[in-house]
Amino acid sequence: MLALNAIDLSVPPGSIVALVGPNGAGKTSLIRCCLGFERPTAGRVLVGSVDPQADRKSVVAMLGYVSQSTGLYRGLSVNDHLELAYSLRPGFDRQAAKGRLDQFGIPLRQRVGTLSGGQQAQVALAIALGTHAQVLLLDEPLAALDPLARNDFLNVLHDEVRARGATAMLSSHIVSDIVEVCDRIVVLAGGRIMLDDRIDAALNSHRLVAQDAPGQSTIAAVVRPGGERRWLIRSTDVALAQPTLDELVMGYFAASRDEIRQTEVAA
Amino acid sequence: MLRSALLTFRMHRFEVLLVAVLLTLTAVSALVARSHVAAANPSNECWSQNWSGGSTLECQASVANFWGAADEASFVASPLAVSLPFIVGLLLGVPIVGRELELRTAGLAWSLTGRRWRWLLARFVPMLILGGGGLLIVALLVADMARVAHPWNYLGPGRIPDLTEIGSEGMPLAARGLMTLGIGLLLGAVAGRTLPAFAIGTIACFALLFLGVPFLQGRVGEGVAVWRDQTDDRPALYVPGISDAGYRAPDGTILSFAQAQALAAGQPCPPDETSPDPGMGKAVTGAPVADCSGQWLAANGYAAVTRVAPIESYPTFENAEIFATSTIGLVCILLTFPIVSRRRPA
Repeated sequence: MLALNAIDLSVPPGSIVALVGPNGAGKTSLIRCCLGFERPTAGRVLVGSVDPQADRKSVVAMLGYVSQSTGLYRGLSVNDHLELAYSLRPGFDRQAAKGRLDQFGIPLRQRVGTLSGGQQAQVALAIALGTHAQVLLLDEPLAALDPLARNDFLNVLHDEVRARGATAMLSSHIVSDIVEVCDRIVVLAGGRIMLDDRIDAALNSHRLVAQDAPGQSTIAAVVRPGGERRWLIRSTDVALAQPTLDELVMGYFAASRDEIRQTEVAA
Repeated sequence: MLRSALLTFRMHRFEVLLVAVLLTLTAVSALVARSHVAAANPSNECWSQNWSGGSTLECQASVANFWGAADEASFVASPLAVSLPFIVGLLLGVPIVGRELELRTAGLAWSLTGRRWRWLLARFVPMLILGGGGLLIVALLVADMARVAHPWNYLGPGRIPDLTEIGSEGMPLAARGLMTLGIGLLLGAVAGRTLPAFAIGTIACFALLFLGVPFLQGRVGEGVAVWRDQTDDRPALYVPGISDAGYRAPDGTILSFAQAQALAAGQPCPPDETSPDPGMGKAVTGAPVADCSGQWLAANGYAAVTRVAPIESYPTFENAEIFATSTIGLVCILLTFPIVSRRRPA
């Protein structure tokens, strides 16, 4: 069983990419490959033009990372985390990180274990941004956050990345949250890339129709709230309804699921 | 460096606190015991009389009082000192990498630096200094306490060492701590979980203590053992596996007990000049009815000998254990670096 299979993905510098996929799609594996935490069994990953397996030191120096679990030390204070980052990463900007945390009223002397989930996510983001990394990898950092905390997190991320001209890849399965800050979307399902496009272009090139008809470039059936069934197709026909980003993503998830079922039946 | 050490201690505050308490408790009990024993120490004259016999009642009471104090002294400090290197080593070694992997904090740390060896050094060195330094101090204090508690032996001033005491004091104790720290570090990195690493580490330590140490002492004993006349009452070291008995022939050759018995079998009993009846021990037919091989061997210059490790060889055993345990510890520590470098954080 491969976590990722036949992936061919290039992230343009300066973009914020939404990496979307159901649980087990391979989002975390892809991000971990970029960090050098996982070694691909075939093919290669390049960050900038450097292979993390060949030169992890250079790659890690380019990257800032926030994991879903945040990876923070529950027994250490917020300030200890900044000291830790400073001791491990040359050039870590403690003042900038402290300023960012001050904005959210997060006490530096407080133990991380006693902070709320949203505050912990802000600490993890402050550390990642304090590295001034040119590439930020964020692995489902929003999963456990309430809407307000999600909004705060995404605002800080968006402003920082845009101000610095950095590149970010943000994985999530909550599509509606990330659409505001991302300019590209990559749909990953079953270890394969189902869609890789600019968000506006992806929406413009798909339509929802009431019936599946021969000759249509059908992706999959999408069941809308209330049980209404529609078909997601590739089309630019302005007379047809354009899907929402949620419907677009659900259509590709469904397509992946259908492919897997067909493969299982064939086997 | 100091900041990094403080961070490491804060990360593992429970283990650090527990180790500090244990080290302090052992050190203080060794110091207190030493002062009690030193206060109860009889005069040299008294000791001399005690071993040569004919001591006064006052002296006997004084010596008895001293032995009581010495026994009490060793009751707390010595058992603590024997188990301390294993407890300290595992408590400090296992969580360094094991807990970081278990609690998924390694991912954050390793995303901040590509040089994981530097991260490992920053986490390991403070623990080594705390554990190694603390154990060394305790080891020296316990050694001093033991020296004070054994001021005389039956041959004169000083203490007759015993191989079972190796590892309970002095450098071997500190070296065992280094070994256990290395084992704990390695197991934590391999298992990525603290509890299994503790369990396996404990089993490994018991195996090394109860199988490895006797094996090592046996090997060293083979190298240093000498044949000594059974009449020689100089103290010797009991070494598991090397004890043997036999006979030394007049030409210096060592015969096993069976070889000597075979040689003496059938030989007539030598006349017993102390017996009023020189013919005693023989049947009327002239056949021997008693086993006279021992007498025959003695009469013909064969001396009963025992294979022992001389007391002077004690430092050899001590150095061998220091070398072996330190080497195991260092190898484990060095092996941890490539493992951490290749390890996938959870």
